[in-house]
Amino acid sequence: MKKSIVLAVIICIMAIVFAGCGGQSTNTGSSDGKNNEPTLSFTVNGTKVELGVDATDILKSLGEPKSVTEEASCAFEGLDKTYFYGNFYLTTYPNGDKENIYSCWFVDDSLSTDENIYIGATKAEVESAYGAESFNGNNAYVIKKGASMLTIIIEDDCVSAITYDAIID
Amino acid sequence: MKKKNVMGICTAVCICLLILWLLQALLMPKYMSESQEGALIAEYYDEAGGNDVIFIGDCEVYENFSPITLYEEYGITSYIRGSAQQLIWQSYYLMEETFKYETPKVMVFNVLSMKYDTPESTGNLKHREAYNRMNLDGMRWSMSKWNSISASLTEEEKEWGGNWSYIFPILRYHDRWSQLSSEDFKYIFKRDEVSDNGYLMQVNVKPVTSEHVEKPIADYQFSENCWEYLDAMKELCEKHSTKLVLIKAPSLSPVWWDQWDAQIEEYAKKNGLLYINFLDYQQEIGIDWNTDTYDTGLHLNVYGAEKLSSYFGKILKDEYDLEDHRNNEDMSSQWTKKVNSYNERKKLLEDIRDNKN
Amino acid sequence: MQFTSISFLAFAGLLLLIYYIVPKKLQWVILLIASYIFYLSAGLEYLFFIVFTTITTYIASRIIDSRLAKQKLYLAEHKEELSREEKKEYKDKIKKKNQIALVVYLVLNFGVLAVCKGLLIVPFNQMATNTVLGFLSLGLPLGISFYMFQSVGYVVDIHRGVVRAEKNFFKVTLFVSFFPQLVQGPISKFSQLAPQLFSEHSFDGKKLSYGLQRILWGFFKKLVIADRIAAAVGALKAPEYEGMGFLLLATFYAVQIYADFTGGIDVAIGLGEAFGIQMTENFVRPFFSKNIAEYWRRWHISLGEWMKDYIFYPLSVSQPMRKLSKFTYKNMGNLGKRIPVYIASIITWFATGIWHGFSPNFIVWGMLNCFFIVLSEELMPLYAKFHARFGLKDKKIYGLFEMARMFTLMNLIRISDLFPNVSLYFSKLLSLVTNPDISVLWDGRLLNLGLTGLDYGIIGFGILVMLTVSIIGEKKGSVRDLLSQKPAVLRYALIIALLIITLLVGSYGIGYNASNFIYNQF
Repeated sequence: MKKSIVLAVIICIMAIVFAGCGGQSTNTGSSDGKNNEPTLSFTVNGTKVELGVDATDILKSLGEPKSVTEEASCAFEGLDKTYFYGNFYLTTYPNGDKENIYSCWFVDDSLSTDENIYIGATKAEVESAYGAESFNGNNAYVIKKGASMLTIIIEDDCVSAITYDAIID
Repeated sequence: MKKKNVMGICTAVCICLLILWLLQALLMPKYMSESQEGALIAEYYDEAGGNDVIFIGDCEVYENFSPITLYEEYGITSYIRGSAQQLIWQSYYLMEETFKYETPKVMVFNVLSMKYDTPESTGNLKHREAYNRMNLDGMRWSMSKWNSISASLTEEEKEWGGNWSYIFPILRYHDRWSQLSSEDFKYIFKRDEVSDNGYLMQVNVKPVTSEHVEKPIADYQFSENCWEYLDAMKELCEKHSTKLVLIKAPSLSPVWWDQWDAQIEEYAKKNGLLYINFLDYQQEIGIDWNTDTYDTGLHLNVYGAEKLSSYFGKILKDEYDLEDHRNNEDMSSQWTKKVNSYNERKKLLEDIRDNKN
Repeated sequence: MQFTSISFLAFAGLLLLIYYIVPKKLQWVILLIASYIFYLSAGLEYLFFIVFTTITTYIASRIIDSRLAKQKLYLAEHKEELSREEKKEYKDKIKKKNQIALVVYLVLNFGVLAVCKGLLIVPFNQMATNTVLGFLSLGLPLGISFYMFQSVGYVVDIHRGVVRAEKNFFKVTLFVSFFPQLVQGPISKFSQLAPQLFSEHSFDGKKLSYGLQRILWGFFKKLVIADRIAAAVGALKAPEYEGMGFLLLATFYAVQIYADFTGGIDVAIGLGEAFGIQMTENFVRPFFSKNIAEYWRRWHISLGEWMKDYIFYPLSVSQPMRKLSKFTYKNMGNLGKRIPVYIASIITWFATGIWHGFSPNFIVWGMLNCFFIVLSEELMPLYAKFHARFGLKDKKIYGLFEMARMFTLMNLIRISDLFPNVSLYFSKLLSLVTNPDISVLWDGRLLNLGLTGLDYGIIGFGILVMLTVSIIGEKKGSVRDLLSQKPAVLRYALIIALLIITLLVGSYGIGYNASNFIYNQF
């Protein structure tokens, strides 16, 4: 009899060892929201352009752009900016007082990705650089890293466009 | 004793509901001085009826067309049922609702919203939620409103009560209690007219400086969802014997890709609809991007809108047998008031603009 | 479905309406259907677990109970014929059989739980995905800690002969899944809850009104206070806050967890009341406790009771423990008598810690509680001498000191909840002495925690209201009773005011930020 009681108690405790909480909700607020995961980037004239990060230093390093326009949607004035550097565009979105890199896209074949893909490269070259699994089944290769995305659009078996996007909420 | 209790409780409940109703009216944003586009949807109901042409769409309709010009030059009566970043399903349900109030001869729909498949595809979800409120809060209650809300909810809205926060907007705006201004008290029960038959006047000038460019996208095909709503609009108009006209306003941004243009052209051809891409007729319209835009080419200001309306009015007159209401006594007296109000507003805004400089 | 959501309010409102319209015989059926709707709203995949527990509970309870009933009958019939030894032998045989049934029941239920938890660990998770065990790796089912403990208590009570088994399977199902207590408890005893759950309830305006008042009160605490102070609690966890910052964290957390937990319980109990069902209290003004034993009679009462009834007492009176007691008394005298109790306490507190989470900080939490309880026991004679000498015991100011002492002590123990890294927890405790950093109180850092001055004001106001209500409750009894004696106008005014404050000031919804609403700058 006593053995059984002890056994039962031990089993209870063992089970409690595996029991979880369900009670006190610890609604302790959100994390600081900083995404410290590495994101995609490419290099132009020695400047590393990363997606989703503070644009201040990058813009300074890239020097004077050929043009700057302010993009907006319905009635929303002057927030997203587009910088043109001759061979690529770079857009930013506001982040408090600063701006963050939102997206970039190449204009000609003078720039290439870190994996040496450029506008005009063949589909085969893209596949060997990024793998067949990144193909979206339609006409583009999509590579994700952290909170960023690289889209390589294929037309007539050649790369027709290369765009980088930050994924923000 | 018990009866007294019940009476007491009923009275208390009534008083409580009254207080809550008052608080709700107080806490809802008024959109009278800031974010005036939020006031547009609700303004329609006072003016409903007698419009031969109704525009439906986003800021590319309520900033680019002037119903007053259409009337002054052609005697065409019209109203713009537009709102900020109005998505295609919101346009459909707005169109459906409008038919309850009147049956215009022509419905004009701006096709830009075909690019947005879901609320999430618009990008900034915080803004999307704000746009939803501006689009939907002003609608009078109907099945159309309910359906429009259900189709529009962002994930965040669904987390925080979904449709309930539209049934009881106090749940959405409750924390405005610490941000109330005199405007909230002044406009608790009344509303000033911020638009001229749905046109939100802009008199400032900010010329186009450089070309608006957007990154290329992988897939230019419009989504199934959007085509379905466009089909539904077409059928709705057919049911009411109203002509559906598809337009693309001459806004330089967002970019209207050729691939998109081609799809709409094909659709219009297949369904016997008129489709005008005004971007192709900038010269004919006479748009001068140095003087006719208040935001570097995204929208026209009043000077540009009048030009565009003058151009479009002729097309409407020629294509559809629209009555010239300038000859109609009732209409003309009504619209003379509108014209005067429009001119007063223009003068006021121009004075403000010029005094600022 | 979260308690503090419109969907839940609508659900509860509709349910109340139906509940008082249907024939009273069917009221418990309505509750059963509602409980399953509530449970399913959390996801279909968890249904298996609660049904499994329900079925095993029913079977085990019927088997054990029918054996005991047969035993009673047999002994009554053969009262004269059987000798004492024969009776004992018979009883022991039945008891042994029942124990097997009980053990099988426990192993099945806690075993499934153990496997679930085990499969949460990654490599096992991946291995299981394509096998028959795959469906078990879904995370912890809603309310499992509560409904399983409640069911286990029921079966053990039957085994002890304290209660008779319910024969109706669906009534047992309702007892297991009664939705107001599913998420946060209280963990109820069958003998207390069942009679109310299954009886007929006429519409009672007073109970309904009391219930609704209590629900409102719960909403007020959770939305206005707990959900508001949560941001600061999150921020104060950061490494840079030590010393006073850590003390503030412990204090803020106390406010948060109190308002959140008691608020949720208020909604649960208030809802039960509205149905005419009185659930057991889970909190009775715990911050007025003057010593740790009292605290644990006032905080999370139903869990403490469960641990006491089903772990502590069985352990204390078990054979091994009694043997140990004899041994220690023989060798260590009076202290020896207490040793077994302390050992039982340690095991019980270990279990209580683990119940909160299978993580070292919860074990430390349990042991700290145990330590201070044992310490206060051992120090009792010393305290008695002290009080005899200085006669402070009855002074009001001393009472306040005791409450403040307990409040601080329990806050510092409870804050271990937030530090899975035990060494970090202890280093933070140490920092109270090594790095007091008192200036955090006035150097503006408090306004960088996600709360504005207005927010602090509101929290302060909320604390004042809670304190007032608690003091009235402690000194004069039920606040609602007192309120019901006041003139109706005052009563309604207070309730309406509370409702409006909760609605306006509650920390819920998509916060209104004017800059998200677009405006033309030109």
